[in-house]
Amino acid sequence: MKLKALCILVAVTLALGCIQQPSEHIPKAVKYAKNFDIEDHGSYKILRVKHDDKWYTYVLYRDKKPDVKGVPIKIPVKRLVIMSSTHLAQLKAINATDCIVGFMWGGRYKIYFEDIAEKLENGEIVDVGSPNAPDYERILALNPDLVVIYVTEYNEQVKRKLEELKIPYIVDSEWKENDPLGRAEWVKFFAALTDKEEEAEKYFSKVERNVLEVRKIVEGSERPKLVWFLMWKGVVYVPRGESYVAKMAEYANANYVFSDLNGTGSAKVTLEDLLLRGSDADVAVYSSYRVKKVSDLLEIDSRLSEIKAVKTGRIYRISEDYWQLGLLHTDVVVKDLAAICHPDKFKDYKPRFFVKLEE
Amino acid sequence: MKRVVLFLVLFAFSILSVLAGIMIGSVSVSLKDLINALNGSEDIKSYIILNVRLPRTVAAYLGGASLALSGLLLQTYFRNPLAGPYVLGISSAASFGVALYILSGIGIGYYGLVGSAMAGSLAAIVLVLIIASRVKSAVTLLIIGLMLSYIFGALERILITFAESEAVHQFVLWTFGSFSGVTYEDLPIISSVTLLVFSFAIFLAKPLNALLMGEDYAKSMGVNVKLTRIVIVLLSSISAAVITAFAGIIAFIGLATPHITRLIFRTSDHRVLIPSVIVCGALITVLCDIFSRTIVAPIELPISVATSLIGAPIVISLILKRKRIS
Repeated sequence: MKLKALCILVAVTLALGCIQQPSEHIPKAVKYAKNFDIEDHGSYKILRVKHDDKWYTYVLYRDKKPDVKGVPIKIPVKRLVIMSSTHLAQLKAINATDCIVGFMWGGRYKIYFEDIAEKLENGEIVDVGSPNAPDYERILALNPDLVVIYVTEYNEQVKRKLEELKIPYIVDSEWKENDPLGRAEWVKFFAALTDKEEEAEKYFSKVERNVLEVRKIVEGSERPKLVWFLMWKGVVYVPRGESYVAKMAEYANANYVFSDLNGTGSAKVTLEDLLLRGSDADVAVYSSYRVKKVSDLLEIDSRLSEIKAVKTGRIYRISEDYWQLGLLHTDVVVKDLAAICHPDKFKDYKPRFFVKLEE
Repeated sequence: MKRVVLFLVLFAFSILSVLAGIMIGSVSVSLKDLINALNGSEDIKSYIILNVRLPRTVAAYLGGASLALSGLLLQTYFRNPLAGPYVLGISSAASFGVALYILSGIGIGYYGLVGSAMAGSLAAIVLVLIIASRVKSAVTLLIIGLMLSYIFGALERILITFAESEAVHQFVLWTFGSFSGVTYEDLPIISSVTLLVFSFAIFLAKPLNALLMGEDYAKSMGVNVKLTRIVIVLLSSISAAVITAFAGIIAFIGLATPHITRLIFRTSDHRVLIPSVIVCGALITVLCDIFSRTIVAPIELPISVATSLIGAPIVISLILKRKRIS
């Protein structure tokens, strides 16, 4: 009898555990994103976010918390602390930056959204320190409704600390999306928190339409070879074959030379592989804005001159505001990439986020 | 006699390893390709052989040899098996120099990096030399060297705190050592400095043997302890500084190779150890360099991963083996 009761108890606990943290979930309400999902139940919304291969459930409610499993968050969020400039870009896309009260910035890079830079200057938005070691006292003092964080292997301590201090937070896994449209779709995540669904839909469908249009323009034409890299003291970093960049190359109908490197994110490859695969690359992108001229590039390593695109001058860098405005205008970035790969299809078009290295 | 044979065998292997370093890689290279390349053929294969593989392999050879020698000198002088080329603060000073260069936004060019690392190391060398000429014992110098490392490390962290994140990223990448950045043009500097250090080091064999018994004993044997100290510090620091400037921080070689060499040759006579440690350091480093760039090609592992993963088991197995025999 006791054993039976124990069995039932174990079964119930297991079942409850499953409800609390569904390990399997297939996003339905989103088209391209793979790491979040939203269900609208009228009086409340269920927001699911994938992080560390697990799905976390958040219950977004307006007046009264419904009796549903998940972390409750009262919406619309009025006082938000964000961790990264990518969050900034997405809130900007849906016109919801007014709710930002704190930003883990640390003053270490320039903010290209002028109004935000101004607010940071005059203290309307408080700089709460760097994303790796934020000033928790300031965050507490701001009394935020919610802190949006991204969690990498380097800043896990922030998540733990917020938990310990009982500051409500939500994990944003937008940076893990490997489709530019998937990334752009994350505006819907912020829209769910701020009740700006309409703006998000408008923004996203525009981006989607533009990207698909670009793809149509370049479809069927000859695919130029593209190499995208960053080099530093003999060590070369390239995006992997399932990365965001590789996907962008696909939309732009370019043949990305490291597309066979499995996985997402970037990889460190040998210089000889870069030269070998890059020696006949038609277009090259150096993914840093600290290089302005071809001579700067050759100063980093003189052997880069062997890359065909460097010889022919079709070598570009990303613009200074790529990581901020570029994320807001994903469609323009894709169009830019298509334009530098297929200049004949985009006559008189000047790329906005890729800058040709000066001779 | 047996040791001479052993030395010659290892030397032959080290030369073979260089050949292997040039032949092995993402593109397979035949002897014919190599000859083509040497005859001035202009395809990408030849370019890779001459301008990518040759410089990095030769640099790994000389770099490994220098770090190992530097480690041996300092281990004997400090009579401390844990001493290595970086105990006197050379690496932290070099990375402080680089941090100053990158993080303050002066530039990002390769020679700027080499120069700033070199400048940082030289500053540390001057400091250490001034201290070395004043202090009485090796232990004091060791402690002061460690303190210098902490100071440079702290200064570097101050810079990191205030720098732009992209610059910090680039700086962190610098700290993972690699011989990949070495070009053809760098080889004359690297080889002339290292060969000079090697030839001076030969003259240190006798005083080093005396120092094995401690500074007081060496003094009684007629060794000029102060001069020896300064020469040891100078030679070991300069070789570490040059390699760090060109290749970044390479872990383990300087610490482990002297142990490996002592265990293989079963002697603590520096007339044997000095040339042997040079050859062993070179051989191990070239093998680690090949390993790090081919094992998961096209992805390259940091060389310190290979040096530690290959080196540590060798040291452990040699130590256990020796225990069993005795």
